Amino acid sequence: MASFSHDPATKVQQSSVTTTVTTPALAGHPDEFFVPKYLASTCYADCVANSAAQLASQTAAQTRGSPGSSTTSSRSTFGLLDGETTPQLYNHSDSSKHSSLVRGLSGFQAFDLPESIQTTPGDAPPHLPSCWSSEGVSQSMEIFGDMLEVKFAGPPAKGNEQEAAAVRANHPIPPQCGLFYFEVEVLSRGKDGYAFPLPRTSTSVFERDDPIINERSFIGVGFCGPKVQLNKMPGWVSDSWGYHGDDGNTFACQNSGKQYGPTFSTNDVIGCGINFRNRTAFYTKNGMALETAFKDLKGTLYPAVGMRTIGEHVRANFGQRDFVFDIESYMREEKAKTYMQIHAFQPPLELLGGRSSARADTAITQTIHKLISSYLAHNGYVDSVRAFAGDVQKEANAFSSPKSVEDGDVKMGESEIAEDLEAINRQKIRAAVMEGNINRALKLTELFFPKVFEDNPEILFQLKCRKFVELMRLCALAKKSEYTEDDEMHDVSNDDDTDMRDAEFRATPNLADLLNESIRYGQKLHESYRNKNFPSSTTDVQKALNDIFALMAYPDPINSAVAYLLAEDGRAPVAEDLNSAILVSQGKSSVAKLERLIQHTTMLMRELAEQGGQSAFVNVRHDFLAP
Amino acid sequence: MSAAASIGPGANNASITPKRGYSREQWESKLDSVKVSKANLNALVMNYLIIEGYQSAALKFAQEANISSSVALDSIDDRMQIRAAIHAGAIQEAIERINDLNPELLDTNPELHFSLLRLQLIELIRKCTASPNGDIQPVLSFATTHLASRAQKNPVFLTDLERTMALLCFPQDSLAPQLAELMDPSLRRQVAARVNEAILEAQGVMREAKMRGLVRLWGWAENALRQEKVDFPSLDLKNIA
Repeated sequence: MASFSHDPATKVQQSSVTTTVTTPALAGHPDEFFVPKYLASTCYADCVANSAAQLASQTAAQTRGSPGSSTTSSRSTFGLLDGETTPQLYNHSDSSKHSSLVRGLSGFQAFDLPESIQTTPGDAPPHLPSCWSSEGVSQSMEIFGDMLEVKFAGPPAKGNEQEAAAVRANHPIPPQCGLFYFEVEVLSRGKDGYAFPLPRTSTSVFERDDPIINERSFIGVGFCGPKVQLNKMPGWVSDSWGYHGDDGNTFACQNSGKQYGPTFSTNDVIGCGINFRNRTAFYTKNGMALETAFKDLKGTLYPAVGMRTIGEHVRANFGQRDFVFDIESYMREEKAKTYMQIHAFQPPLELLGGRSSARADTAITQTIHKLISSYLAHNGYVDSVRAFAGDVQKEANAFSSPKSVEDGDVKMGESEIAEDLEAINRQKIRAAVMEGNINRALKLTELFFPKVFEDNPEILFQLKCRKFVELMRLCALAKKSEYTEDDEMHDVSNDDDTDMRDAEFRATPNLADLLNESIRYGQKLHESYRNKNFPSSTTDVQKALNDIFALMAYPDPINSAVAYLLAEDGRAPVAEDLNSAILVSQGKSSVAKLERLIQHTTMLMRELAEQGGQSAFVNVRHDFLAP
Repeated sequence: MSAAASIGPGANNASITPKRGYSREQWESKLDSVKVSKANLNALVMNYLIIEGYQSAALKFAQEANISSSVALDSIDDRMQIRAAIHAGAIQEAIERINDLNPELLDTNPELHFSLLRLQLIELIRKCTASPNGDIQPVLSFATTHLASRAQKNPVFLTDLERTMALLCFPQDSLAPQLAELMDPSLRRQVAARVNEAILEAQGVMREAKMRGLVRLWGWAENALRQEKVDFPSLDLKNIA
């Protein structure tokens, strides 16, 4: 903890510091992840978004009673980070529920990731520096204002002119962010900044061109390693780097400086960027970039600021507010450089399995065609598979010479016909779930794939829960139509799918009967699963039951706190899980190869970015998946 | 990743960072933790179908997956007719169609125009050399009227033209690999793809389907991580069921 001066004038601030430390307004909370806008397209942002998505899918899985290890994900929150539009069809129903977890701050996204998140521990992304830390800070320093402001309150260091006080940020910079940038605004240069004796004689150009002495301050902005004592200016000791306001010099791990840039003082904003692609750092002054300051950086680095005279006062911006410097353009350039290199690389043919004589781009095309074809089949989009094969064939036929029909491209052969039939059946089942006709889905699944429910009792449970939800939905809609001649109700009853419902659904909803039936079904469901649990999965059966039974507690569930359970969007994840279970029962992968390619590439990039490097500038989700 | 991951040149870092490795099982479970939404996957596929012009597949897919596409699907048609013409070797027809669609496109892309004309020359040579007594005159007059003047202004064009004309001197079944490449139909594919990209770019749409970038990124990353001496199971894209 920081200690504070006993000057009564600072009493008020002291008390505010105390509250700030215990409940920081926006930074430093251990469970929150902040991703400033300029980092949105980095590998780091992808890690954070994925953690949020994982959490959301776990919560969603609990709600709909599916295994937590389910391969499908919730369609709700994680899109926010890349600014993608919320997916319409698959947007998971309970986004309202999660919205409290994802709070937008100005230019900022925050994700709550409660400790309970069931991921491999190593997968949680590290935090970004978001405020100053009071740990190990000298008594002469005050930290306040959401832990972003620092003031040198004295007493001034006596005797040794090397004495100073420094603070560093709460977290080290994770190299996965590719580039980290923060700004420090000098609010006051201090009472006697310029009167302080010259700190060094070496390369100091103290009397350089400008005559106005108060444009200098004894403040240094930089970064340092984890073990550096906070009683020196950043840059003066090993494992620390800094740019100093009194002489405009930079210091890299030693107390002799190098002439670098202008001096700085009150009202100046000094920015510091650490680039993990080429391991350099640069500074900006009032939004103008200065040249590269340091090279060959290594180690774990914390943003830091150092001060020497009473009254010096700065405020940091770790991305909470807009920066003075246009860091986003800088990031775009870095990203473009990365992609130039990646694009120049031709994937080796042996990975793609093309003909040895084939050109790399032909091999890539064929691989993509196979990926698409298998993705369409995986989802049971049978007509699309056929249309795609037809289009590809037509393209190949355009070549006059017979040699040109590329082998290995997608064709509809004999072997596909059998798979086709299976895919058609999966398509029917999916369609049934998607229109809310769970009975039909249950019947079809038992007819075509009798072993699925036997092998996956939790899928059966999930479907039954959804059936109950659909019954409650009908009740709610029927209730609504009884009281109002609402257009909305007409829309619902005119839906094509109404005709396709089984008899029990088709009858003009007699509210009382429907309600009775729903409650009977609910009781039956409760009866059969009351003491059950699926040891192989993380499904919390009792919680799932309690969640859906809550629907009965509200006279008008559509306008209640549990309305999200009723949304049609909830059908897609159920259809997804059922489709995956069927695929597995047929000896196939539950994940389409295309999805695997994305997961695999994401993980490769994450491994590569762990040490920084240019891979950190690639965010697979943002760069390839955002619509 | 550890909270205090440090930076340092990856290759020289082996002594500090223990060599990492993942069994297939460990790796697969890491992959399972990456969440990909269905909507995103659908968008990725749709993006490919539209940009590369698989029109009927795009229409069916939009129906079956219930996607409302923002790009008008009819706009694919023009591009596809052009592509089909180039694939079939009907370069004159393709050039006319391109000019109908966008009269400025070839004027503003001299390299693209040249590669189309050269393709047309190759098709003429193919016709001429197909029969033993083929008439060489149309080839020569086409080269002089359309290509020679352009080649004079650009050394790259000149080399390309010379190489193409060399096709006339050798029997078709024993061409050096460099020349055989010119006769290979994949050259039509390449030129057709570049024309498609140019049209899309002129229409303000991204040039390249995201899927291509993704596959290239994957190839690059597999290679890069191997070079870091990290052990992991490669993704098998040879056998896609």
